Amino acid sequence: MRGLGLLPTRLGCKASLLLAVFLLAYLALPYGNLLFALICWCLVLGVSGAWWSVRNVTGVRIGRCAAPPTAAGTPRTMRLELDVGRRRRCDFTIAAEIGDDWVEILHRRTVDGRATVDGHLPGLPRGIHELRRCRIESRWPFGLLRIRRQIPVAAELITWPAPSPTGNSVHRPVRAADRDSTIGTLRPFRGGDAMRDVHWKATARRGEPVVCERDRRHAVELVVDRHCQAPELERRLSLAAASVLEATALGQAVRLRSHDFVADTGGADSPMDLLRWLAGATALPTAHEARP
Amino acid sequence: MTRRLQCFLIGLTSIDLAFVQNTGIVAFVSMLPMWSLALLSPLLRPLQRFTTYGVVWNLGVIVLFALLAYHARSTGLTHLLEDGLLLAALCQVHLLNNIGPRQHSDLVFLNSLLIVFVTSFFGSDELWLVLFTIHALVFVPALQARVSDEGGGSVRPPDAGAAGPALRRTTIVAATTAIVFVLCPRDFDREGFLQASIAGRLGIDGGIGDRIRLDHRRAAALSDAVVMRIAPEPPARAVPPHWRCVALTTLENGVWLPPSGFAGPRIDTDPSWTIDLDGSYRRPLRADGGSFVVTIAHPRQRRLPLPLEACELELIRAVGMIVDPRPAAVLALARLEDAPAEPVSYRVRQSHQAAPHPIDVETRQLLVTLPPGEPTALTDRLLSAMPANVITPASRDPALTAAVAASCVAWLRRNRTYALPGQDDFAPSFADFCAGTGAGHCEYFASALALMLRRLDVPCRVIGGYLADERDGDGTVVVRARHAHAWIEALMPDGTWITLDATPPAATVTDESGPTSWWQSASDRLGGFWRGFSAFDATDRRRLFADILAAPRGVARTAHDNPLAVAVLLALPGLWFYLRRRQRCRPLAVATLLEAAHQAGLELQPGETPRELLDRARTRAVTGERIAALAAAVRYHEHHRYRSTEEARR
Repeated sequence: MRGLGLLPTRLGCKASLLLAVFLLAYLALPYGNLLFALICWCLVLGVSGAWWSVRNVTGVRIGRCAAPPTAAGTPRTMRLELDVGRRRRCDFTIAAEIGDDWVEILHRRTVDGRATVDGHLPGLPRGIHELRRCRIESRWPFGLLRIRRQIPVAAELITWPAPSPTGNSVHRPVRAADRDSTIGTLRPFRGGDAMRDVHWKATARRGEPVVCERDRRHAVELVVDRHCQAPELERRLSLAAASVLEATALGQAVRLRSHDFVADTGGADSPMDLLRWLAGATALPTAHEARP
Repeated sequence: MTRRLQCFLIGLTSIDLAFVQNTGIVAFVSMLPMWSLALLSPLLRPLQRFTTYGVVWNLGVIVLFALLAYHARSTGLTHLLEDGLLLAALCQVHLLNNIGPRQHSDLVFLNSLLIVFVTSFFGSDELWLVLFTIHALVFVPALQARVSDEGGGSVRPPDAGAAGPALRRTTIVAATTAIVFVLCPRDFDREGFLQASIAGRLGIDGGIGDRIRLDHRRAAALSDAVVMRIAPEPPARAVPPHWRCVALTTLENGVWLPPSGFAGPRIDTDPSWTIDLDGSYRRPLRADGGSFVVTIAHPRQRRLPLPLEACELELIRAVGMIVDPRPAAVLALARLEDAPAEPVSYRVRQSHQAAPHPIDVETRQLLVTLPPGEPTALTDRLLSAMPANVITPASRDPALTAAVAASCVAWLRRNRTYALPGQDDFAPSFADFCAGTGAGHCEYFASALALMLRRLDVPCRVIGGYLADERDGDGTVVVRARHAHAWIEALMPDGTWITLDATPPAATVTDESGPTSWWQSASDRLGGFWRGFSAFDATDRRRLFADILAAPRGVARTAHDNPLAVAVLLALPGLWFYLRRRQRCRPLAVATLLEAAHQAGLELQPGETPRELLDRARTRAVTGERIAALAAAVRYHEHHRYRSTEEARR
């Protein structure tokens, strides 16, 4: 029973004191069968309660443990696959170790065999949080002892920066306009085309309106400069995240560049790859070399 | 606090009040307010939000505490335990009515255990055992309910109940306790590091004292501890019922006192004990009345109980003990300082008939003297109530004297009722008992008879000892602490002493000639079990082990005689385990669904989904609770089988 922790609860401490008083009275007074039987009853109740408490938490395994990536500060649901064996487990709590803290994620009254349960994680700060251990805790059945047992798990909690409103701020990252210099193909003007898409030089040459279809693969290009302090970095990353989400929602491709990182949703990368990078991005020293 | 936990706590509190009521320290009417407050606590719960409510409760507890402290100060420590018990009961009711967000229910459980513990000192009997059994059946599920309710929770199965597992746990704890109780080696004769006098003040042992106080009114602590065992040696079969320990001759200020011994005038009322060269003790009587081996189990016994006609005493085992002859043919037992705490056994032979022993005038006068004042007035009142043709002063005719004494005995038995101190009808004083306004115990009956006979000029003395009327399975008579008794011995004109017992026979004596009701037989069995439990000692444990070791031979013999029955009995546990394991492999949601379908009178067909089953139930007009339970089981099955985040949140 490695990693098993036993501690008396408040009721357990008081009950121990009361039992000590009973024992003192038993030793002080002449022997009596009834008094002896009462003390035996209390002792057996305590010991058997401890035994059942230990049995309630041992043999519990956590299989797959997955939580969807989400923005910082947003609660999410974590799905755990529990395997409790043949014995029914009652009234236990599962906590996850995130950083240096233990966060309670779920409480169940009863679980039999194998079950998939949903736990609730509170909002976390930006980052990729490694989840290596969970802890199951129970006071079942008598509430005299609190039993804890650690269970190894392997999971990643990706938390991207909370997107902030982009607006028309001058501080937003460099964002190339839709008028990318990369021209795709030329075609005749059709009704509904924007006037700004008319390629005037080609029109002059051909004598009829010609529009250019731009290469929409790089509709949005984001460049994030990480040579800054941490608070400023968080702000920039929040803006970048907002841009990625907005572009993805509009069906636009996004290219994200930052020093040694390049990712393009128009290519082999997915928006989640960008968000994952945003979750794990760190600040660079301000006395670094040239900008990206 | 959920309603389920509230019900458990009310039940627990009610049982605790029943424990207190069973001790008899206070009348039911006096405890009626506590009963009402406990049972009506759900109605008082909405008042908890008012600050005044809590203030009133706290003030009530403080006021009662002050009253009990004042009572303890005025009466000394005699009633400390009773007052503390009443305070604990009030605290229990207070806790029950004040549990809320700030007040946890921990103290309710702990206080309940404390009440059970303290009430065990107050003459516990089989009714206490019944209450404790009910208490255990409520206590364990209540603990579980508290853990469940304080832990919060998510989805709960529709048929989740704690009754089954709680009952199983209670049974396991009880069985384990019984095994530990039987097997655990311990010193049954341990005295405790407190002085025995303190233990006596607490009413732990109702044994034999050196005197009888007629103003003693504390509730009797009738212990079932075995004091001695009397084994008749063949050819003797009948064991004398009265075994005397102390003889009291003088009534002074409401206290019967023994003869003064060395300090006062020497009285010679019986043939004296003399010690032989072989260490045995004899009296000049013929040993033709039978022989008995007596084993004293109680280490604190300071006297050798003997029948009136005892004439020979042979110590079989008395390490570190000295026999000290006292007046009135009483033998005291003195224990050396370093004597081991071992049982004392001796053989006593008695005479078939008491031998006459003349006494001098001074001694006779001592045995007929009534102290002036109230005792004489009481005696006159008693005698005046008797028929005139019965009341004749003592004469020289032993038969007539014996007849007068017997008439007095019969009159007392007919006109006075028996009750123990602490019971409701017990007389407030000895004077009230003599006046007929209250009941009394054996000491009152013996004292009243002694006064009446002395008024009629019949010399008599009050005897304290034990009544031997409980037989063991093998013919041994078992004498327990609660068999302590008082009677008188009257001196006939021919110089012989006769035993007179004015105490009416117990009302619970059953008529064995007629059929007994199931309730009576159950009560007798329970009483027998209680006596066996409370008097369990090393002898019983040795006997139990011997029975256990002999059990396999008995089983083998039974199996040889009834092989089919034994095979069925052995197969039953295996079948039970098999069925239980098969049931456990089935998920709870499926078991719930099948049970609900069975209750609705339907069976899940192969290939039928739960929804289709539910529709089929509706088409068959299954209504009421059964269709609701089936619908809930279907929802639970779907949730368990196909659960999603949204459903879990709902």
